[in-house]
Amino acid sequence: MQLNGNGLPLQGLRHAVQFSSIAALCLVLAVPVAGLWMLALVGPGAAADPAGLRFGSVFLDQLDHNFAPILRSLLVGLISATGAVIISAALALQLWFLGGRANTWLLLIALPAFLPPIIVAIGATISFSLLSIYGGLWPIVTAHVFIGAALATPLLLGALKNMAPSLIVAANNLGVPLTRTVMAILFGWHKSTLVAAWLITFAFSWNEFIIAWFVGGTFTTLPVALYQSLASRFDSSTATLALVGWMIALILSAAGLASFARKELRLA
Amino acid sequence: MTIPDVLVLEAVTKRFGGKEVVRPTSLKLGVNRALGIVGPSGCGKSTLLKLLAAVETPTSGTIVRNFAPDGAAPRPGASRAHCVMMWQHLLLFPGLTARQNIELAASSRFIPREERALRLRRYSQLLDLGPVLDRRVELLSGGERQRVALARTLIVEPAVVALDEPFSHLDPHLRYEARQLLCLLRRELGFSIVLVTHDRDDALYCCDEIGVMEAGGTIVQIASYEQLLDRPNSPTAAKFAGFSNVVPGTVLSFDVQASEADISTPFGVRRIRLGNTRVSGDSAVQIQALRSAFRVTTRERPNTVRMVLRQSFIDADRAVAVCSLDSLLIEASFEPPLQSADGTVFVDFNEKSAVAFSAGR
Repeated sequence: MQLNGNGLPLQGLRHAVQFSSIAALCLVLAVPVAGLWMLALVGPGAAADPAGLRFGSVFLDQLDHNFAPILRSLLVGLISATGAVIISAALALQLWFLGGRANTWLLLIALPAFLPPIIVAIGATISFSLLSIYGGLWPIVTAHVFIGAALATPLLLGALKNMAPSLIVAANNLGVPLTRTVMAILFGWHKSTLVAAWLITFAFSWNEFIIAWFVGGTFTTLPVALYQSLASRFDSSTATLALVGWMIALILSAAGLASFARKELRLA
Repeated sequence: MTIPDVLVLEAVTKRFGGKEVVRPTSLKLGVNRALGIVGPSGCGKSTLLKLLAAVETPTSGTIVRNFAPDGAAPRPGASRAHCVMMWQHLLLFPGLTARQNIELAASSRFIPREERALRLRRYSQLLDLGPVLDRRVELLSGGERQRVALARTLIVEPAVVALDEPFSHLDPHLRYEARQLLCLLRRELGFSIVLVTHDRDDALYCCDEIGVMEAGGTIVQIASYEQLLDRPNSPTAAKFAGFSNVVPGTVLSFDVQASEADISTPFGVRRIRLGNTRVSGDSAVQIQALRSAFRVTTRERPNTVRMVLRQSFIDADRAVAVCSLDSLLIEASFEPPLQSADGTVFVDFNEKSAVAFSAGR
């Protein structure tokens, strides 16, 4: 489908993007709203009946004791979402230029979205350890950018596919510089898609920890354990876990690549 | 002082991978002249246009651009600025208003704000865009979008406007208006035009000369329409000029000096002028004839041939009959009314409106 901003398909796309933006915004708002709801539900007398309101009490406990980690996870979310959207925009532009040949690459880029996030996170951990970077938040940020890009790229590409790549050539022929074309025309038209992509990746990133904390209560869930381990130190058990996770991610990626390559060969 | 041509192509070729899309092509475009490039789909017309507009670079050959009005060397980067394309699908920038679309090009060229405003007023007035300037382009009608695209092209005041099938998606009425507008603007503003089209009327309306391109990327003839009609040098050129009926024939004898041959045809032996091809005795030829070369009547006369009437219609300025004889199918003209009870008609062939080419060509 090649359109120049004309007709129903693009209007439908705009509605879809607006809808997904609102949905993503609701998702992002859901966590603090749920927290406030819990706060209201528990009230000042919650301590008197901890068994009946376990989740709420635990959430408040976590809020008390882990306020700094929550802020840090918020920071991770902000950095990850921004990084993921920048990378996704560049990837989507490249794939857009590739046209029909983009499908295989898109599937490869989107593959991490089908992996358990924790596997990607420990894959990033082992990668960083190979670079002699131990602990800290960067492995988590990297993993979240990786998965965030996997989520955002198809969304951005889907929006770009409704425009003709020749728009760039047309703008260039008129004398419009490339940077201006990208900023004013491509991303000007798709800013709502960019916002939606950012919100979705942010929601994914932040919820990864917030939900783990919220539902885990006093139990240490895997994301929390990894987060704590990375935030403080890097020990042999984390390294072993990371190695296993990384191997799984590698095997899955290789299998996916082989499958798509076969398909491409068949089509050729 | 002679004014140099704005565009001069010398032996320009273009290859994509191993495929030669444009074979060695040489042509010239004068100031305020209009050149049409016609030919079948996929023959390389659009690629040639992109080469002219510096959207593509040639594989070999040279393109000289003389866009400075006094013939001086163009300033750096001027080639792109002064040969602007108007695309088949218009490629308006979505999400922007008509005004923003038009202004974006001008503002990118560092044209002063006052001058930009002046030009915008001028072109929106010329193209009657006033009421739609502040509407987003995706909400405009086909004709309005067409005019916005033209204004966006003209606001940078290019020396050459390269148009790629600009009227192909317009309905006949709008198409007529758009052609008129383009001719009017060219006269008024003095730019040159290269128009790629496969529509004969577009080329006839808008162009001084027509370059006929064959499948394979070769321009076989560049001439005015009158010259094409008078002496087409290839079946493609003849077909474009209107010689759309194809009749088989065999050469009996030929006169090289007069460039004519006696040819045996389904309509008897006729003396027909030869196209720019070599023929020999007994060689098979294809005779291409205008619709007006065949006249259909219901009464048998000397030299007419009995054919079967397949279809006939009349519109404002033509009456067309489609007739067949075995596997031969021709389009002919007739004087209404044409009524045949059993579908039998008699067709007269005027060989003066035909030209013959060797059948192998």
